Parts: sequence; C-alpha cells; structure tokens
Amino acid sequence: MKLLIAEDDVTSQMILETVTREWGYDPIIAEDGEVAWQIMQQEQAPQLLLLDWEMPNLSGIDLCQNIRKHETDDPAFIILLTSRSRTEDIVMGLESGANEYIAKPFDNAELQARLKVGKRMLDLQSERKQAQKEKERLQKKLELTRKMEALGQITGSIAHDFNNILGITMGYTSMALSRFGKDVPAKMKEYLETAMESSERAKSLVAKMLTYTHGEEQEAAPLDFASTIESCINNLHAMMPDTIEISFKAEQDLPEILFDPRNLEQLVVILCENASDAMAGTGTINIRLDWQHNIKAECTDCQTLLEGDWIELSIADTGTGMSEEVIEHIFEPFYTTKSFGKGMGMAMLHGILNRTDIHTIIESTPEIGTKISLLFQPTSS
Amino acid sequence: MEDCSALIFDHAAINKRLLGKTEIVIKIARVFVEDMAIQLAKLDPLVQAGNFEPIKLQAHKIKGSSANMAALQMSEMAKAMEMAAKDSNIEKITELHPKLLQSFTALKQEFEAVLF
Repeated sequence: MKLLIAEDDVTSQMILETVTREWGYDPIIAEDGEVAWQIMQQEQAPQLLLLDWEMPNLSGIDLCQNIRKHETDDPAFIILLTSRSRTEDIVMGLESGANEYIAKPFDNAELQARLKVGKRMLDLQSERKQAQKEKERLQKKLELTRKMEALGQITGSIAHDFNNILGITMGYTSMALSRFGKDVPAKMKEYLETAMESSERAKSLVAKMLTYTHGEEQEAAPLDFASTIESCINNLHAMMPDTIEISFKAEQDLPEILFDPRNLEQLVVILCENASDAMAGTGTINIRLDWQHNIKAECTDCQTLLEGDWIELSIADTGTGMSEEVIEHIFEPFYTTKSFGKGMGMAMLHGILNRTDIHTIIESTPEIGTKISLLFQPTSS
Repeated sequence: MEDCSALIFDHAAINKRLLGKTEIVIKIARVFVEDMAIQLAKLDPLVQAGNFEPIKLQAHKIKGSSANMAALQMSEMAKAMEMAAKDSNIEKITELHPKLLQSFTALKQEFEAVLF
C-alpha cells in the first residue's frame, strides 16, 4: 500500500522510510506540505498519510484541511506525527481532519499499530465501495434485462402478426403475377413486381426482428475464424462503396471456436455496415482478430464482468463516434441515429449475443471513432 | 530546565527504532550530522539577532530531529531553547546556544566511537 510521508526533517524522513518499507508499505516522501499537496492532487494518490505538523510552505494542519475539503468518495486515512503533545494541539490536529495523532519521538510498535488501523479502515472502505458498485451494476443489469425482454415480446408479437399479413400479401401478389401474368397490362405487371420487391424487403426486416427476439437455431461448428471473416470481407466489398477500405489482420495460431458461421457473417456485416455509415462512405474499417489474455472488462450489452482469456474480433472505424447516451440505447430495437436506418442491426447483434456466450465491448469517442469488440471463448475453455 | 545529564546518544534506542539494521543506523547518522550542521548554522544568526519566533521554530526543528536520532541531550537542549524563545528570554537562549553546539560536538565524537 502506498504511504505518503510528509516530513521536512531528513533524518526523520529516512527513519520513517526505512521502518515503513520494512513493514510492507510503499513510502513516498514529500519534503514539505506543498509537495505533499501536489502529490495528493494526482491520480491514484496515496490514501494512507503520515504528516508532520510543522513543515515549510504548508503545515500538516493546513494540508489536512485541504485534503478534507477536496475529498471525494475515497477519504484518506491521515496520521499526524508531531512533537506537540498538549491536549489543545491534539484536539486541533483531529479537528483539522486527522484520523490519528502520534507524538514524536514515535514508538515503533505504536506507529505500526496505527498504520495497521489505517490500512484496515481503507480496506473496509474499499470493500464497501466495491460492494456498492457491484450492487449498482447488478441493478442496472436487471433493469436492462427486463427492458430488453419487454421490447423482445412487443417486437416478437408485431413481427409474428406482420409476418402473417405479409404472407397473405405476398401470396396474392405472387398468384396475380403467375396466373394473369400474360394478360395484365405491362404497367400493372410493373406495379405487382414492385409490390413483391417491397414485400421481400419487409420480409427481410421481419426476419431481423425475429432474429432479435428468438432467432434461428444455432448450428455451432468448429470454425476457422480468419477464413470465415476473409470470405465475409469479399462479400462486403461488393456491398460497400469503393471509397471504403477494409483492412484485416489476424493473429496466427488462434485456438478453434465453436460458433455458427451464419451468425458470424451476420455479426461482421452488421458491424461493418454501421462502421461504413459512421464514416459517411469514406474511410478504413480495421478488423482485427487477436487472442486477449487476462482481460478484465464489462460487457457493454449484458454488463457481465469478463475475466480471463478471450478471442477478440474487433471492428474499428474513424467515423463520427457515439455519445454515452447513444451507446446506452444501441441494442434496443428500432433505435437509430441514422435518417435512413431501421434500428434493427444492433438489436439483431444483441439477439445473437443473447443466445450465445459471446460478449461485446464498445469503445467510442464522438468525432474520433468507434471500436466494437466481440469476445469469443476458445473451445478449450 | 534542560537536562544536561541526559544520554548524549541512546544507541540501543535508535537500533531498536531502525529494526536492528546497523548499516542504516550508520547511514542515517551520517546524514543527521550533515543536516544538523546546517540547522545549527541557521540558528546562529537568529540567536545573534534575538529573533524569538524564528529561534523557536528552528529550536523546535532541532529538538524533533535529535529526538528521532536518539540524540537525547541535544533534544533536551533544543527543547529548553524553544521554551526560552517562547518566553522571550534572550539570556537563557544565549546561555543554551553554546551548550547546544558542545552537545553536537560530543554527539559527533560518540558517533565516531560507536558507529563510524
């Protein structure tokens, strides 16, 4: 544990540094109050502090008050170390915000015991904070699950009814075309064919809605990811403007993954289309396949805490990026930021993620770009 | 009243404080001697000028540093000087100043004998 020692006397600095290091702390020395205050304003500042009272530039008392005034939700544990031993000094020290008060010359056993108290308090504080964070994460996950379930039911119900109606429309249109094809006027035939094409597009949309709600049965097979993605990229080239480049790099000797190749293609197409749209038709989509070890992250979709080794398929663009608010709603069906979008791409992705054990991490900065990673577990794990 | 009979240097106490690490005791003692010479040099013009508040602060610093190094006699002298400065007693300060310097000389001799 890091321990800030603010002490202007070099002999005391060396003694304190020696003994506290021996007790397992990681001492950081500040030769006056001002230096200590600068250290406390840095990120990852020490939380266990040993402050001398009399110091040049900023006294231990003023330093204590400054620290308490600017403290957030991680209060430091402050031990004031001083040769002042009158009751009014002790009261003043504690009222300035110190947790403990030790008289100089200090006794080793007492100092060690006080530091242990501080460490214990800070450990408890950290555990409480972690527990609170975990509670909030689980609450958010529960709310999200409920919301997505409700949306799934509504979407599924609409898709089902719409599919039936569409079946009738397409059936009769098809019958009209095949039975009276020769006799209908050319203009009428064109109308019927247009109606049929539009119905096909509607059917495709319904299929996407159904993928979001329950999807097709998975046909997982041991998959050579790199070659599946390469073949997918070849198809994407045909679908995308020439001004969009797609670069693909795959780490060698990746382990096998059990996954449905159709789903993998769907995922790559959805993410690449979104990347292309985000770059307004010009730019490079960088696709990478890497083995990431000992990761510690949270799935952006289901908020599950991810640890260990994962195969990461990342698709990055240099497009408009997304705000946190957009990311919060990105998996909801019909949610879109595009004027021409239907808001089903990422909802489909959510549907696939929901039925498999893959996860996603979205990193995005407005006006800089977006990287969406899909994390797969290797077959061996 | 300063305690001139106090031990010049409590070797056992500093050894215990530094967890029996003799080489560190020696290293810190050398730093202490260098630093204390500077601190005493700073005290000299203050005593000559009779500036009580700066004398009090400097004596306080010497008192703390000596106490940490287990230089008990010096610590007692500095404590008495701090009190005298608090009482604006220039006679006492003038009397204690050479005693403090002598105590430092005695301490250095003791360090030479038992540490260096």
